[in-house]
Amino acid sequence: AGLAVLALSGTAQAEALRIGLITPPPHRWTIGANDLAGKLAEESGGRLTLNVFPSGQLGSEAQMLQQLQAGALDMAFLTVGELANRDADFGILVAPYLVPDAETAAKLLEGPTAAALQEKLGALGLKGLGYGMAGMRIVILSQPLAEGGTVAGRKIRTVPLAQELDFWTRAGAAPTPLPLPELFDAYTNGQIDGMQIDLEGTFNNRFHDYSAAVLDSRHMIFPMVAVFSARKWQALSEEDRALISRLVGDETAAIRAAYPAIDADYRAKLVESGAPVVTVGPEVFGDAVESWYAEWRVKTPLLLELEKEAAALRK
Amino acid sequence: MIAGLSFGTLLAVGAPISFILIACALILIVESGDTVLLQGLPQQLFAGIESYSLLALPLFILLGELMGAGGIGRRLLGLAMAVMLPVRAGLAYVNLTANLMMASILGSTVAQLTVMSRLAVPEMERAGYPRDLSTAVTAAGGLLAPVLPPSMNLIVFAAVAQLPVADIFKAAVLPGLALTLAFAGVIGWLGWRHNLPVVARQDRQARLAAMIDALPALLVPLVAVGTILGGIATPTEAAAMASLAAILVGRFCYRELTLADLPAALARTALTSGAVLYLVAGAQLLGWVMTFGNLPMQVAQAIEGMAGSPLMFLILLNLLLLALGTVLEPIPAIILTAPVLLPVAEGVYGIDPLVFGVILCLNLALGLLTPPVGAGLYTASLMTGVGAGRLSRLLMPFFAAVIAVLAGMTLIEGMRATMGG
Amino acid sequence: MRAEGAPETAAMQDGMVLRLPAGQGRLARLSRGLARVEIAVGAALVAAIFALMLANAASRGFGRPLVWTDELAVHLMVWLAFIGGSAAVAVKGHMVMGLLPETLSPRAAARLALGTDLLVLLFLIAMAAVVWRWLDLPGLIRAGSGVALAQESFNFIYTDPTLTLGLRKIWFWLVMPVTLLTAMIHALAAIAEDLTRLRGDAP
Ligand code: NA
Ligand code: NA
Repeated sequence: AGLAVLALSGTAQAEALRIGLITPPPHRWTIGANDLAGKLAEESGGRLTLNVFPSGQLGSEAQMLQQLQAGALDMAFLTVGELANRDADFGILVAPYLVPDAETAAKLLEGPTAAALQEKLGALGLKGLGYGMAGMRIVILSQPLAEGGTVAGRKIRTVPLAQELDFWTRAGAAPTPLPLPELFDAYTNGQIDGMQIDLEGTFNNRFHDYSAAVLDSRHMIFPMVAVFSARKWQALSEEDRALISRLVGDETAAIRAAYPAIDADYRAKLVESGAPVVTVGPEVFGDAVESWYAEWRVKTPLLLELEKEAAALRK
Repeated sequence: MIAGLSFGTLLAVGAPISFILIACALILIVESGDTVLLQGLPQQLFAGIESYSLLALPLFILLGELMGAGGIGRRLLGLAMAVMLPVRAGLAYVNLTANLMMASILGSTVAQLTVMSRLAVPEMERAGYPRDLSTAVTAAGGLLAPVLPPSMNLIVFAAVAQLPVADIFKAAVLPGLALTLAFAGVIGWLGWRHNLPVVARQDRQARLAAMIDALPALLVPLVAVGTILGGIATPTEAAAMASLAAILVGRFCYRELTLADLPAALARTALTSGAVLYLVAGAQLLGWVMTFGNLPMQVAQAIEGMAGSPLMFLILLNLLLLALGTVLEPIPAIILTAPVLLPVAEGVYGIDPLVFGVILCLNLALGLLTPPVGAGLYTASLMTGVGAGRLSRLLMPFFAAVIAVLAGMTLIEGMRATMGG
Repeated sequence: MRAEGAPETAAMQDGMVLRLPAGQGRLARLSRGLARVEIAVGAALVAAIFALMLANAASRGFGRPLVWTDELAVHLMVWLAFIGGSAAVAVKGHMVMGLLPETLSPRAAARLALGTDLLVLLFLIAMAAVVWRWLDLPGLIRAGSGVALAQESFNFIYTDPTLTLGLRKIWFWLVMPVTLLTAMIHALAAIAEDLTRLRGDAP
């Protein structure tokens, strides 16, 4: 009986946490989440465990956000789409040509403006624990791009995020929201003429086989936020909060640090397999970049702070 | 445990299956003590069917209704009969061939069998086939849709496994054709056993008349394929395009569809879609609660503990998937199982992820036709009025054909992985 | 096993005759009227989804893709599921797997139908309790606004946005409490009909 009581008190103390994310098991974010699960179990002496639910097993990001708010889900790696839909300030992180490369992107996500944004998560029922990111965004097109040409007139698949839709509209393209399951067929059949993606995604889906141009534009960061349910965070002990903060901080830093190499690696793989990779500058978007900033500096003044920081990093 | 018992009892007394699924989700939550899940449950129920992929369902049901009401289905079958050789069960082969062609355009079983059951079943009945058997042949043909490319299920698997969609499509072609041949074998046997009619050879004039009469009707499938391949419509939108074509052809060419027929067709579509979608919502909710309880991971670990060889693993995998398919819809089941099982299959047993994907998708597609939860089974039943129980009994030989194809794939891949590893 | 109430097959082929509740009581009339409205709304939703998908393809074809059509069509489809699901309680259109009824005497079958309809009502009441807790109307009234409720109690359901429609999600979610109520009326009407039938059969 004594043993049973011991075992019971043991399980009563052990806390099984859940983390949800939309990326599949081989993706760097999922690897990071599994890594985090291992470290959390180890450093808490088995008191805290973390079950990883990849591939959107618990639902879309909108659903996961609702579950975090209700306290059903403990943690998630979220892209900024759903956050920007609730607070436009999160959209400044996808400003075009904010940084020249993934290294600078990583530094910018460690800066004070990003930290200030993270504080705003409280109003959404979330506790921010750090930023991760994916590869820099590029553009692929099914039809060739003439010398000095722009993306104007092309149907480009985008997520329905106001800042992104606005950017593509300004570039003269027709931003076309399309659900992920339809993407492959739509691109190969010609319902869309191109999409915004990263080098890793292009190679893994073999989209380059169906592309006349892989434009290495690296025009945008693709940030991720590691969030905890504020409702559940309140219930954790001081000690557990410190441990989770530290470990998630380490893990997101590792993800940020990994992407410059991942980008370079996949670029090499694409070139090697004969993909039509060309490096392009902001001119492929016409004058969209300047006019986008003019608009969103007014709508979301925090953008100016982020730009200042980015300029300082560039030096 | 309590959930399982209630499930069986409620099924037996004839309570609506969709309600039983939701009730079981409630019981599971209360049993697990994770009552915080109740807080978000209504949102999850709603979100379970808040998916673009499901839009194809009401649209294809509508297409089926319109093709029936406008006399389009009848003429397409008339055409097939005109060119058919005089063999036993000829019309059943025509049905299978039409399913094969549709499967190379459509990616969803339910979509395909709604159109086909409206199209083929009345014609087969007129030609002297029993309605229940015709419905079974039609429903089985629907299984080709998610196996032969394009396929929604394979696309979802490719996304989860991070594999190129084109590769998994290629990997599915051979098993899909093998399945078609196996079904043809079953039809041959059925034709002999039930003494199904031989298509009477028509004279040349009658054949020519049937062909000319069917020309406008051909416009409907042409619009469906043409708008997809021409880059105008996604497969979901193509259903709407083809519906529009069906309205125009039925109204202006054949003059069989009147404006007064439209509200009735829409109302029937609404009731059928409502019942099927509600069932999907219930199945999704139960899947969500099971995932939250970490059930897939526990099952994956159990399988890994039991299987000593790649072949043994694949056999257990098939058994698990067949069992899962009886209660879950394919797409949630793929999202539930692939992330936990694929790493084990690939990493521990050296199984080709493409073969794994095809085995997974074929198993789970079969679940659409197996009771107690199968959107395909109930849609076919609703469309033709053949009881779901009778239908599932008549489908048994077709299930056996699917299992034979699965067994072949399992054996070949199991041996390959053993030699290779 | 059968699709409950799948009507006679000929009727199915030549236009399904909707089997609306036949009773003459006030409850049966109410249920019948509601079912007619639900079926009409469902038909309108199917027509709207059809039109939205055409608009989707056409607008993309003309190089001006509409951003909000997908999301709206999907939400209308969920409405269709819940409204059709409620109407299906009235017309006995839900899918069932009755293993027993086919082998029972008419009287026992009527008793079983009563039992099943009572179970349906019980289920709807349980769901209504879950939905009532989720909506937290007293909390909303106390807090004064959805935003205030979110800050007070982490209940964000009144502030959750849609992605492209510019509407709050709650307007779509409201279909759940509404159809739970209508389904309860249908279930009550079915129970009343079962009771009448049992009384009529009584020796
Ligand atoms: Na297909
Ligand atoms: Na099934």
